[in-house]
Amino acid sequence: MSFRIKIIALILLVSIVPYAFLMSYFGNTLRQRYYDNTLHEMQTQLSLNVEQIQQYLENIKRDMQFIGALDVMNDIYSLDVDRRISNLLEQKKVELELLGDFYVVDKNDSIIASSNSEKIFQKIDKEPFYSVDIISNINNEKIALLELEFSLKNFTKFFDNNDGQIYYIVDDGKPLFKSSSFEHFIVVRKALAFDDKIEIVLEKNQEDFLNELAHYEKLFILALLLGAIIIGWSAFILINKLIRPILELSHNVEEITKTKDYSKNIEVQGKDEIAKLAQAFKQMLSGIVKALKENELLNKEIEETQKEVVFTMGAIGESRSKETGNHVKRVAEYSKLLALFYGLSEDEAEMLKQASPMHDIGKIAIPDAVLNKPGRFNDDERKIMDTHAQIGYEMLKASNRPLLLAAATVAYEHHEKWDGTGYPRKLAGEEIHIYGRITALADVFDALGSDRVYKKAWDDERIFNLFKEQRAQHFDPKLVDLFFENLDQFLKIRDTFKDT
Amino acid sequence: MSLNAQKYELGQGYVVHEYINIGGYFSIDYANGENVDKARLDDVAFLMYGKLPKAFSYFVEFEAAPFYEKDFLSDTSQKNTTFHYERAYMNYDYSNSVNFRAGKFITPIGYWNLVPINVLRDTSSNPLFSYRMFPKFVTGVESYGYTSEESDLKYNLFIQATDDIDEDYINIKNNLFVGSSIEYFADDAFSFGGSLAYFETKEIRKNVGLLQVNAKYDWYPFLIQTEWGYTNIDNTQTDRTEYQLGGYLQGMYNFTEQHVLVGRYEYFKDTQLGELADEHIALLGYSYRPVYAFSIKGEYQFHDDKNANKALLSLSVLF
Amino acid sequence: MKNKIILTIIFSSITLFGAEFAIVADKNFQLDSLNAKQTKDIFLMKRQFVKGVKVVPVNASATSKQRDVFEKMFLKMPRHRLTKYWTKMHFQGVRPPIVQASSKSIQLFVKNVEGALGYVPKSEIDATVKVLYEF
Repeated sequence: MSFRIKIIALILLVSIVPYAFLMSYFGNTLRQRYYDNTLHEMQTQLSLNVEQIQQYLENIKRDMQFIGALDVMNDIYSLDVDRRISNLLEQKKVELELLGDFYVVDKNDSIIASSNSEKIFQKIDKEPFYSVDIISNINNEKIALLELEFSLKNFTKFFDNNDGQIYYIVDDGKPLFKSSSFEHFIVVRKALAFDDKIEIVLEKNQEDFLNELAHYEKLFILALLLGAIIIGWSAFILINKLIRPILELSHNVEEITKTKDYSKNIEVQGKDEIAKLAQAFKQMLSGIVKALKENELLNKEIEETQKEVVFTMGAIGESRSKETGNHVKRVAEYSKLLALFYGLSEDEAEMLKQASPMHDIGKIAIPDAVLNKPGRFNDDERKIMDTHAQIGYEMLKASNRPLLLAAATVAYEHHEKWDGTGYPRKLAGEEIHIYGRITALADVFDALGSDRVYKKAWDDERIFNLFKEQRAQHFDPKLVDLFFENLDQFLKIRDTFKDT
Repeated sequence: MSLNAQKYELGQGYVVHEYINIGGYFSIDYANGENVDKARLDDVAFLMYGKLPKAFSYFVEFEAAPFYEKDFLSDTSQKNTTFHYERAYMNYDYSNSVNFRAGKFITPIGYWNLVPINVLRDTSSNPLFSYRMFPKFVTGVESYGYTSEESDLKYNLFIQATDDIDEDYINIKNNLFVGSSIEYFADDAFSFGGSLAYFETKEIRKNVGLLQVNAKYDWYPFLIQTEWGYTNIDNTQTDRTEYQLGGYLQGMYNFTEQHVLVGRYEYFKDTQLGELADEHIALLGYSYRPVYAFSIKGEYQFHDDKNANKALLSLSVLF
Repeated sequence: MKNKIILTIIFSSITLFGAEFAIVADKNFQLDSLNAKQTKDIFLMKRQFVKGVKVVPVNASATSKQRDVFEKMFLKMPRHRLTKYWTKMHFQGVRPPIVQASSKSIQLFVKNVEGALGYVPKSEIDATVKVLYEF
């Protein structure tokens, strides 16, 4: 996971999580507040309603007190036979749209007058809802009671019932006039001041409330998401801006590592720790570049030294056998050319060229008498001479330098023959290392074309015939073919590095 | 809604409650003569009375007068919307003979004083006698009734030993007033009586003694009444003794219940006024009452001083 | 004096033609009879007591015949003069007598209210009241 993503994730975590907690707490508070508000609204509505009802009751009471003091109440003495009081009570009942009745009741509980004519002269049987004393102004004594029989249903005319809410009454714990009910509801209740056993209850369909709440919740969630998006987006942009230098640095490093171009310029912006890091890195790079350059120079020197040493060693090796120095050089060149033609890389070919001069280093170990004998060798002398390959190999194989190992191989196998009649190990065909095969040809070509202690230089035609003859015997046929294909280049070398 | 046992009739008040009866009145008049040209919404009043427990009863009356007055001669107008106590008293009725009253009430002297409002009067104007000689109201106590169970003689005894409770509305400011009056009802038509009183005025302190007599003969459609009074005024300030002598003779003829013709002759002499002492007024008036409590009256006054001649027009209502 | 003559004539005429109405009160009413003058004073609210007894006069309904006869007989005033009278009395703070609407209610009233008296057609008198005056 990239640094950028880690940081962004971290920031988001650090900011979004508290945000989410805060918002949900906030949301919860709002929800609660909304519920409380709704409840409060309902209570206010209910209070108003109850106020109306209480006012209504007060008005009725006042009316009754007024009626009880009218002079027509003197008709109680005449038992209201003219029905003046009853008519008045009836009128009042109609005016108030009252569900209930008024009664004028005497000391014996007889109904003298009433808004309900059927009840007249009967005995009153129930406790009245409210009653007023009637006092006559003739003899100033209480002559009767004006009583009110009142149905609580009268209150229902103040109830504004609809699909979403209903009002009803609870009297002494029993619900009355409840027209419907909701499956889920919120309820508020308020008792009447007149009689606290009577309560008015307002029930609201919770569905409406919940719907509205859901609506608000959706809005809230939307806001929440929007907030989160904004936070996330801002974080993202901010982080990007902040870590850009780091990323740039990292990218540059990556590039440099990939391309190994240590001289690539690194821009430094700002002065913060990242900038300091970049600056240090830049310095480090220039240090590396410098070191590399030095290294390169040193390497080159080493390489040159190495070449020279090897060559010199080869020359030293040849010096005892009175061959000219240029023989070594020529053989090296022939070998490189052949290697290139054969398909070896430039590096390998070059290495072979540098290794080749050491192919006869083993001759150091051969006694002078053998080495510089002018005539033919006898068997013993031949045997001793032939050991120079093995000896050369033994001398060189101990190193782990590739150049010296190659030289070891060359020394060991440059006398092997394609048909397996060479020495020292009688390798055949491609068992013989290519270095060996190439060197064999190069060496023989040069040897034949040069004067030696034991012979004079052959002319070209004879050399070529020998090669043709020895193709696939002494020499790798492919190499022979290559040789002939590029003969002119070989001759050019011979000419270039001619012994003087 | 008929709250009352009886239907409401104009002029007989409205029964609000067993203990509360209410009413009110107002009058509008216009006077035009050599020296006068003005219109008035003269009095606007509310009254309330009722029977209380234990033989008590009460009466209150508030009036604002002149409520609004416009003088065309001087082109001025004035308003008086403050209501004053006209009457405020409590009664206690013990028997036919013994009744008490305490508070501010009408001085029970003469016929005109007892009906001091325009609508109940026979003419728009009061005779001089009725308001120049004695205070129209008493603030104190009074006892009244029939002298005995069977008698037809009514008596009144009153005492005021204090200032009037609302001095703005008294014609003669006084702080002592004591008197007695009697009235004898010989039969349905004929009654007569008289009174004796003494009072002391405020401001210019005068001690006044009053003697008054009245008689009425009411034989529908005719009615004749007359009143005469004499006051002896001891002016402590000027230290002189003056006197007033005044009265009237009035006849009324009812063409119908609603139409009445009135004629009156007044005489008033007040030595306090010096040369202007003798006043003679002859008055001819006409009133129309569609119902008794609603009256439209017109009159013309002939004064001995011709400049004081004037015509009077009025409209008044009692609820 | 004049009144007495008129009264005699009326009384005679009643006896001649038959008294149609009667003034009634409760059986326990302290007085057994009233004379015309007492009646007039009572019903004009000039006197509230008769022989020390507090009385409560009750008028019949304003449109009833008995009231009409009563007013002519006892109060000696036509309706318009009575109106004038009661208007002046209202100004003095005195109310006219209570009115009950029917003979039945008048009789119930006088029964139930101490000192009450009213007048009804003789034909409608029930046994619970006593007659004080016939007219």
